[in-house]
Amino acid sequence: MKLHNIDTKYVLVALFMALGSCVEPFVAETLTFENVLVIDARITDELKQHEVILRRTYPFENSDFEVESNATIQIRDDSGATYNFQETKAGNYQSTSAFAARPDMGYTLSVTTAEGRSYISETVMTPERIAITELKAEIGFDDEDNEGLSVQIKNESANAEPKYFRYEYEETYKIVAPFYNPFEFDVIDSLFFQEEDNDPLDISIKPRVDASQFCYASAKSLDLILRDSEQNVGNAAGKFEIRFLENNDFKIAHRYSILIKQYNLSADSYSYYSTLRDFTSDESVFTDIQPGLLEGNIKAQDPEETVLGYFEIAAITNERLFFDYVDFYPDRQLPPYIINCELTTAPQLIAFVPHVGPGFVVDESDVVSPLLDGIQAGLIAYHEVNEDYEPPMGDGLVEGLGPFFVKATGCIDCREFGSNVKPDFWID
Amino acid sequence: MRRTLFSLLFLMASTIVMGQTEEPKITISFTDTNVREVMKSIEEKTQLNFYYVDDWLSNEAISGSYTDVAVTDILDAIFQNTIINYYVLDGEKVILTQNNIIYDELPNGFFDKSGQETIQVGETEESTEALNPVFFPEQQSRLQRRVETVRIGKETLEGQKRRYTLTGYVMNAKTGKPIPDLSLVVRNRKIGTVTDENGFYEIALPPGENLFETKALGIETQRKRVVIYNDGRLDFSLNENIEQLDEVVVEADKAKNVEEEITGSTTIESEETKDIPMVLGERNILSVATQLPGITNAGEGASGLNVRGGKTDQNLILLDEGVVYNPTHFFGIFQALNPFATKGVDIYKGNVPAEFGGRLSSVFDITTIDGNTEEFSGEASIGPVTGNLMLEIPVVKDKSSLVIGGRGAYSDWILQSLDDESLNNSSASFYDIVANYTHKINENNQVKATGYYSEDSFSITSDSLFGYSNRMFSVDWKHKFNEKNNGSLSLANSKYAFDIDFDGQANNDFLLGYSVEETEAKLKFKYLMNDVHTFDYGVAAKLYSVNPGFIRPTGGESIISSFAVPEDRALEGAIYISDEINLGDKVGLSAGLRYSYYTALGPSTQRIYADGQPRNQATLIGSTDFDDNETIETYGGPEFRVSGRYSFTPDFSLKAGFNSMYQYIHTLSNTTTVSPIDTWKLSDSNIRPQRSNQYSLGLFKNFDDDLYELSIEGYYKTSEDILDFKTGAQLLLNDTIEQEVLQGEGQAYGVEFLLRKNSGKLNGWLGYTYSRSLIKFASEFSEERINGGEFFPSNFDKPHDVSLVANYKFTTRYSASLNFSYQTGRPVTYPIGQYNFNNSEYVFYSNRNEFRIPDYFRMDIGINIEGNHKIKKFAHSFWNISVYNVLGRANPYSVFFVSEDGGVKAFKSSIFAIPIPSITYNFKF
Repeated sequence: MKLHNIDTKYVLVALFMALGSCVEPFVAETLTFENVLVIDARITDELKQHEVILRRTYPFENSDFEVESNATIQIRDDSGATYNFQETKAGNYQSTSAFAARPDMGYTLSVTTAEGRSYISETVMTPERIAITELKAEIGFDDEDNEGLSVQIKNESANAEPKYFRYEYEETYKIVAPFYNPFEFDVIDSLFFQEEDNDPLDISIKPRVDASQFCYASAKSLDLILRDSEQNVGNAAGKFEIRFLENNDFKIAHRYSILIKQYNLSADSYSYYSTLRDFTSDESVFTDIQPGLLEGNIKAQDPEETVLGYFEIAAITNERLFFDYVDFYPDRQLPPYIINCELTTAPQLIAFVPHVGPGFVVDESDVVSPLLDGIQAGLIAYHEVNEDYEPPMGDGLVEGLGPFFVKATGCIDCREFGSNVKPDFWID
Repeated sequence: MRRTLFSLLFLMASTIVMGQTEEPKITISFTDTNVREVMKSIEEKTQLNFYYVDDWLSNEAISGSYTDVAVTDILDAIFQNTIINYYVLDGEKVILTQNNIIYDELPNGFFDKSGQETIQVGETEESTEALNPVFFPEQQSRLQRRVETVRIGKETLEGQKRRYTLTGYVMNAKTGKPIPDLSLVVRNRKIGTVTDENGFYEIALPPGENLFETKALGIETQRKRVVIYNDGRLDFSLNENIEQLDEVVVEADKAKNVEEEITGSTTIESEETKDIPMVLGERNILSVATQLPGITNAGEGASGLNVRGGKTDQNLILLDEGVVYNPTHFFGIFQALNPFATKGVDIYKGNVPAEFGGRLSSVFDITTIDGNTEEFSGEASIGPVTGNLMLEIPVVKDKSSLVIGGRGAYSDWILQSLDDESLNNSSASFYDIVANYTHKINENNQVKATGYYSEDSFSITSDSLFGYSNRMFSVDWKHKFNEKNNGSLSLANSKYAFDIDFDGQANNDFLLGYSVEETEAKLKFKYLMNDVHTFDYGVAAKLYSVNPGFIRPTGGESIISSFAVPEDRALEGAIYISDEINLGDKVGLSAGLRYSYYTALGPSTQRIYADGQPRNQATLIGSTDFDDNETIETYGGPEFRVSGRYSFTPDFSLKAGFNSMYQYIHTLSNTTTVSPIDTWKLSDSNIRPQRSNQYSLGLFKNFDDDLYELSIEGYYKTSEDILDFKTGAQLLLNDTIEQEVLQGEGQAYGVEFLLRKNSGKLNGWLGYTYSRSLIKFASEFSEERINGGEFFPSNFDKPHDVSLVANYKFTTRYSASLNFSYQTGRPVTYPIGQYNFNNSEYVFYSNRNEFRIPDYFRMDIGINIEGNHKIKKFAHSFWNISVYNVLGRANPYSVFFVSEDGGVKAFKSSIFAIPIPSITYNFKF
């Protein structure tokens, strides 16, 4: 029984914080380090050029992993067929031909590194694929009683064996810039000289070049989402919540889409993943799961050598869902935008007068103009003209409100948070 | 004056030869004359001169007529009925003395004792053979000087006795009635007597100074310095005592430390712990125990104790003979025992008496108080976490009494009133109730029944509710057959259970539960054969029934299927005998033998695994079914409990012991510290019992009349078949648990140093322990090995441990307490790198327990204020103000790594990271 539904993280910690306990992050040091090969080989029943990734462990102090290049990788099935892999990018190996894991077929992975160390996996069977009968979202509550939309999956299968699933998802949502403006700032390096030549810059507005009212952003799941049917009546998979979005989450403010990738696993690979999750998930202050070396199904030929990673054969099912906020809350105010857009300012111009030509001219050097700095740093975008702005008379620096009202760029230009290119799969 | 006279007399006595050879004879007659006049007449008729203190002589009229009689005969006659002695010096000086006699020879052995202050010789040491003159000690304590001195009898040269008889009569000064049963204690002689029903007493006293003290309930205590010269009589007239006695403390076992044979035992009285500052002011004898050498825990939030390098499941915790599986509340932070109803705990961590068995490391024998049979009384407290009320209700006066104690936490209420929204949904509460009934049927029969229940419930998220409970009931009948034989029969039933109630959003609501229950009958006898042998023997039988886990759907649409791991049953029996052999003052021996026997009982299905293969699903080759009560597997063997003492002096002894134990029930836990959802598993055909052997050696010394106790004990312990688990084991609802279990060996050793002061203004103890606890899981299969099959430190291996518990009484009402605790940081499993897998980072763990968290230290302070002792006051109150972790040190408790949003984050947790102040109000009535 995997009590993964019981997520002991937040409240107990909070409870004990009230009593004086604390959980604080710290910068971990590597006390001793062991450089070990990590094999990430996840093959599915999808017909494609599958990929195997070879990397090495790295200390906490390093931000980047090392890869294992120039290895020989082969997958052999029970029928004797072999699939060879070729390094396409450092550490990434792709099968030379497309193939799909076949049901009820066993596969074995073998890896030999450039130094001649070899590794071999146990024979792994392709698990049965369980169809997704339903993917839907409905109003629900999370375990802290917050209301929101629960994305649920339902499977049905005549098979009475326990079923094991791992899920990944990719969510894509539409972003609508709340203060979209068809105009944008135009900063021209005026007059006769080159850029960076310490001559003045000319600030004015122009019609938008790129569309930036509607954007699309995507995010992939990063945490392990696991599920089993061991405790269910008849081992039926039933319903399962994959994603919960609180109803004030900006991601669901307009239109939201989620692509569910369901991997049917064998009991062994499921157990590997659930241990991996237990070792590295949030836990309560009090129950401290004893971690240890997590051995996968790959063994080094040298019995003294440790190898990490797993050779997984999964049956994959993809399913996509779209929904709009108004489908569930027709009369409710939309969730707030990603950032607060209440604030409108008119940054000082600090202009150099007089000048020739249109717009407002700011010195490129020496003078610090909040307006110019904000534009150049991409922090602000054009909102509207300050009608009350009075152009300065005579020589000298201008102070007080500037000539344009601006807002944070993200409020006007959605490209701050996504791409203005509509994804191919998107259905409005 | 007295002093100079003495010196003078000595000088003369040692240099002058008595000249009594030619005694003058005179003729004298006197009628109704006082002694002074008579002496004057004698002075006139002879050349004698009298020297005396006028006060000594009475004005009593005497008469007499002597013709040609030696002066000494006349003097003999006139002083016959007085306490005056006389001495004729040089035939011309007559020196009168009161009581004392003037010696003309030095006492035997006088010069042998030269170099010592002569005056004290023979006075304080009763055993001195020579019959010495009676002298007062020259120096007297201030207290003694205030005491009235009474001189009894006249010293005689002839017929000196070692003891003189003092008789007398004691009466009540107010009523004039005799006082019977009054104790007369001679403090400096350690002898005493009691008045008879008519108030008369008789006591044989050695000559010289005797410090008399009268003692009787309700009668004033009177002290008199009685200087005995001869037989005599002393009457007392005593007033009634106006002081109401609140409590009489009878101290026994003061030198138990040194005198008892067994090693590694400690007693903690619940009442004594009230001054020790604790988390949130909750008295906790189990926490106090961890301040003693050899007893630790994995950390502040870890329930369960580790005794001498043993695992937390190796402690037998008994409450009035019944087992309590989890005597803690709230993850081990509070004890689940009512401090008012708890008398104390006897802890055996070295040699365990043969009557106990079934756990490898220790026995915590906790007893509840016996209720007050005289009058209704009680105790209550209000603290920041709990409220507690305990009542003692006499049922039949002087015969039977009922104790009821209830204690509850109001943390739920606190959580609800906090602003933090995430806490409003959580709940955490606990309570415990205890009741006992004691009935003294007659001189020879006594019955005590105890019931106990404790429950914790806490919800971590709004959809799940955890709960655990302990239930215990015991009856104990003590019977005295005769002066030499007594026995007891006890029956106990205990149950520990936990459950998780999940009520979530999806259709998978469930209730999951676990329980272990045991029923024990135990028959014990004690036979006091003679001064040399005391036998304890008995027999015990215990029936276990474990429900290893069930899950069932809750709510209408839950798709959870009902499932239960089949029940496990077993019978554990034991027979034991032990003999306390007292071979004189110097040598004592305790020899015990226990034979324990265990049978795993059906119905059951036992799985069979291929020989010479690691145990897993692939090597499962079959199973055998067993019928109801059919024997599945038996285990058992002799357990030796031997220890001896050699006393160099009455307060200095050396003790050595050997102790072996069997344990048939084990906890299954895959956490580094104990969690309330750990389960207990019985031995079966695939899981063997654990065994241990312990050797111990200690030196015990008491100083200053048992005021200080000092001990150094060393031990070496080996254990076999202790349990651990494969990495990532799933233990709940696992019906093939043996596939996850590893059995290995343990090795623990240490030296424990303890200095303890039990009374006085400053009391407490200082302990230091150096100890190691190592375990080893070797196998020819890598999946059944931990750390390559080598010994590695256990989770609670903390080599250095220093504890100080001190209490200073400023006055009878105010006292301050201090705790200090230092420990080496416990071992943890720390990653040796990280890696990227499936687009997320993970940490890479390898060998277990190769690193340690930083050292632990903590200081707590407390102030205790006793209410005043006015008799009329309704209740006697006691305030306790304390600050736990006054230095505010965030002692790391654990270190963990979380893979989140594709990256690894490192966290460290500490349970009490800030000073925790609290105020508790207690009162007795």
